[in-house]
Amino acid sequence: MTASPLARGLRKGLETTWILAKAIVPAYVAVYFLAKTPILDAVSRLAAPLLGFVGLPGEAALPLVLGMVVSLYTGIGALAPLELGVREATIVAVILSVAHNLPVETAVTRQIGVSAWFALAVRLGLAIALALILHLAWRV
Amino acid sequence: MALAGLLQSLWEAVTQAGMTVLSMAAIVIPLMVVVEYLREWRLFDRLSEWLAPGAGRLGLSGNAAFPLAAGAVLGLSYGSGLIIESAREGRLTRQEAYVLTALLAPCHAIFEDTLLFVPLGVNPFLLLGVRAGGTLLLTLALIRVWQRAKGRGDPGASR
Repeated sequence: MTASPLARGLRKGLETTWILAKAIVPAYVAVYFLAKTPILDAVSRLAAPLLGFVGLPGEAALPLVLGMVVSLYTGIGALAPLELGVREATIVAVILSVAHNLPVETAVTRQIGVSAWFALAVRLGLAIALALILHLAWRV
Repeated sequence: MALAGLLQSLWEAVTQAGMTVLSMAAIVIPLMVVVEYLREWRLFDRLSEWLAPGAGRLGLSGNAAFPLAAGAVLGLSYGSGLIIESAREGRLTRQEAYVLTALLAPCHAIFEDTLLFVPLGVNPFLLLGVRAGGTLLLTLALIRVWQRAKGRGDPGASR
């Protein structure tokens, strides 16, 4: 019952790794193959004008949408095969670390009597604002 | 021929995804061990005491400092349980619930979420600094707006 902190930590770490694997591997493989088809190109071209605003290429739409709607891990899994530059990866990381897993996590805020719209507005507003600041401040 | 190419691509994708997972496991497993020791030694109680003066400046009472520390470090799955408990027992005011949401919705599990991006080449200090700094500034701005609105009715009213 009372396992040592080391044993508990190892078990939780392995559990988290398993959750990571379940989210990352399918997303990674899906995006890896999508990148070989015209589909990713089409999505990229659609998203490019919007994402160009924060210094991102159109294909970044995939990890952003998956991360926001499904989970942070899924978003990371979709981000990795795109092999963006450090600057672009950092902007995606800022957006996704602030705003991920929105349907599930927003449900939590309602439990404490805070409106879901407030939580969504804070996260999306902050994500966009910080991405824009980073894009404008990071001159290579 | 096409099938062989497809299988080869699939194998490449799965092994590369596996490498990504392994590099994250190398971060997550030690992190979880450290967190379990922090809990064992009750360092979150001390962290929340240490955070209390700063939390006071954000209009949070001591009751809110512990869920804040736990949520910021451990993540929502652990922190939100504590917050929901505090809210149900009536230990959080309405404004405190809004301030906690403004802080924790964008900024929780700060070590895990930050370190997961390191294998992709992201600088963790930059990522954490931008995320935590932005969250704090936004919360301070919201508090100022709520205080100004206080004379005119419900604080944090956004129903």
